[in-house]
Amino acid sequence: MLAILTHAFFETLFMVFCSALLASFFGIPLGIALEVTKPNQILSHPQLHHGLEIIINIGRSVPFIILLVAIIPLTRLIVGTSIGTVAAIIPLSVGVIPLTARLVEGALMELPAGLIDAAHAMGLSPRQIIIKIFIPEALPGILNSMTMTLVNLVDYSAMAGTIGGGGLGDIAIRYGYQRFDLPMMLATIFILVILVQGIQYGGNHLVAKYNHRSS
Amino acid sequence: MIDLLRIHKVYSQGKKTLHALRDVNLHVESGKIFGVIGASGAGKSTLIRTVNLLEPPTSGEVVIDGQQMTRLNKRELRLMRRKMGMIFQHFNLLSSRTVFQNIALPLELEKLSPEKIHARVQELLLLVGLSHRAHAYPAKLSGGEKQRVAIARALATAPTILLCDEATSALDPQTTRSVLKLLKEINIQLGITILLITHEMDVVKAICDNVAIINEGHVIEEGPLSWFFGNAKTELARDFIESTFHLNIPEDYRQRLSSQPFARSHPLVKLGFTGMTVNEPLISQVSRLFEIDINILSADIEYAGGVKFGYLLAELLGHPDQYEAARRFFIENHVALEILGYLTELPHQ
Ligand SMILES: Nc1ncnc2c1ncn2[C@@H]1O[C@H](COP(=O)(O)OP(=O)(O)OP(=O)(O)O)[C@@H](O)[C@H]1O
Ligand SMILES: [Mg+2]
Repeated sequence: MLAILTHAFFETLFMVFCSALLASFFGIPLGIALEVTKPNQILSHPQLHHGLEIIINIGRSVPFIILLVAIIPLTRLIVGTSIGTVAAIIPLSVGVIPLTARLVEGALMELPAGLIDAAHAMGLSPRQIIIKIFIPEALPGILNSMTMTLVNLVDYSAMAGTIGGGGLGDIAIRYGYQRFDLPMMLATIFILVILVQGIQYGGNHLVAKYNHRSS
Repeated sequence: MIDLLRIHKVYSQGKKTLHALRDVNLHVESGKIFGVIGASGAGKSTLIRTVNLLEPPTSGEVVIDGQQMTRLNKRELRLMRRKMGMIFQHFNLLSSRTVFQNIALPLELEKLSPEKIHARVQELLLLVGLSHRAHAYPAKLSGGEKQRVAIARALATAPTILLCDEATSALDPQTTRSVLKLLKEINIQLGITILLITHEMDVVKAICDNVAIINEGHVIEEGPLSWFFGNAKTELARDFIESTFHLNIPEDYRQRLSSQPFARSHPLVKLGFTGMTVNEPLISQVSRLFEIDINILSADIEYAGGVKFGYLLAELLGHPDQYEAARRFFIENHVALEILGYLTELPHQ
């Protein structure tokens, strides 16, 4: 039992962190693009903004379990197979990119408008404003959104498990639901709870570390 | 140095349009402190923001050091803006950077070596008196300290112009005074030209060489501070000037005050001194010429921009026939006399 759980645990960790990495890689720039292309923002571009809005809204309106299946051709194209832990990373990342983008957008929206005035007055270019002002100033918010992304990924990874992704969710369904193995199910739930607690704790710690705003 | 020529600014939101600046012309001389004063919504912020094109004018020219700002491309404009510092009402410091790092930001853009940045930041910290706070984050600073950091940051690239948008409006009176003093020192030491906007006449009075009043997008009056105190004609200007003087009738006098003269009463008057007033001992002259005793209750008279300006609250005690002669004498010497009411004689007189 322990061997099975340990193996599943590392599968979940692998899925969650690889997906988080991919989701951040695409989601954070997307969130920044979403914010800076707004009217009156530093790279105002209404059409592009509108396009991004539509894409992100579509992404957010598709239930993950549907996405999981619908995206199989893409997964095959990229990974070569649609089954297994590595293959699960594709739907997981795609599933949380819109969420990450929205959360990053929210973190940027909270920044005081006066910062942009000050930045322009100092002669910063839009690129410099993003790199030197937006990202460091919104860092606590961005770390917060990454924490939420991770927690969501733990949740989604259980679903991905059901279509052959492996991990703790897969164990819980196979042993707990299909074989009525109650101890095994409780053990997976316990591990998931600990994992989510750990992520949240680590996230909060990092946010506090980088948050120098008056509390 | 700074020339605004026929500036108009129209904000349009959907169908609504708002004419925030109307044919504004302003000339700010090199090395001077120029104050623009106006009520809320008058267009002050819009005006100062057109200078570095944070708010591009709808029409008109902004000329800085002979350079037509509206003709610059984006890159040229950024370079030009680095020659102008700007500070704001709410400081706009980066919360993620320490005091030191905030001041270093404009220097990073200049691609200076870390050693040069370090030396320059130390110099600036010394100038604004914050060397001991170099590694604090802005959240831990008082409002006055934050504005000093903002000033240091604005001065980092040694600009020739400093724009101040309500820089002291979020500060208490004492902190306001110390920040204004710093601005004056900077103006004198570095010869930097300062354009500031404010809604407080006290700020203008404290440090400005020149002043302009803006109302509903129009500059309605403009001139050197001394001229302004003495000669401003518009009612708004008079109101602003009066707002810096705080003359109150003491409560016990207020109770004894009647609007009409009556037997054995004497007038309580407010004497207004302006830039036109001749610099002579008028009070004692009146006293001698018209045999009137003058009892001064309170006075708020300032010497600003080379002229004496202010108000004096006094009771005139003499023969009723002489009051009118004294009034004419004051007016001839450009002292505004306003009778606030009549008082009964004090019991012991
Ligand atoms: N971005 C904007 N869009 C639309 N209207 C604006 C904008 N900025 C300012 N206004 C309007 O222009 C007018 C002048 O505003 P401005 O901010 O220049 O006034 P102000 O003198 O600085 O006032 P305050 O003392 O309240 O700061 C106001 O009526 C204001 O509502
Ligand atoms: Mg304003």
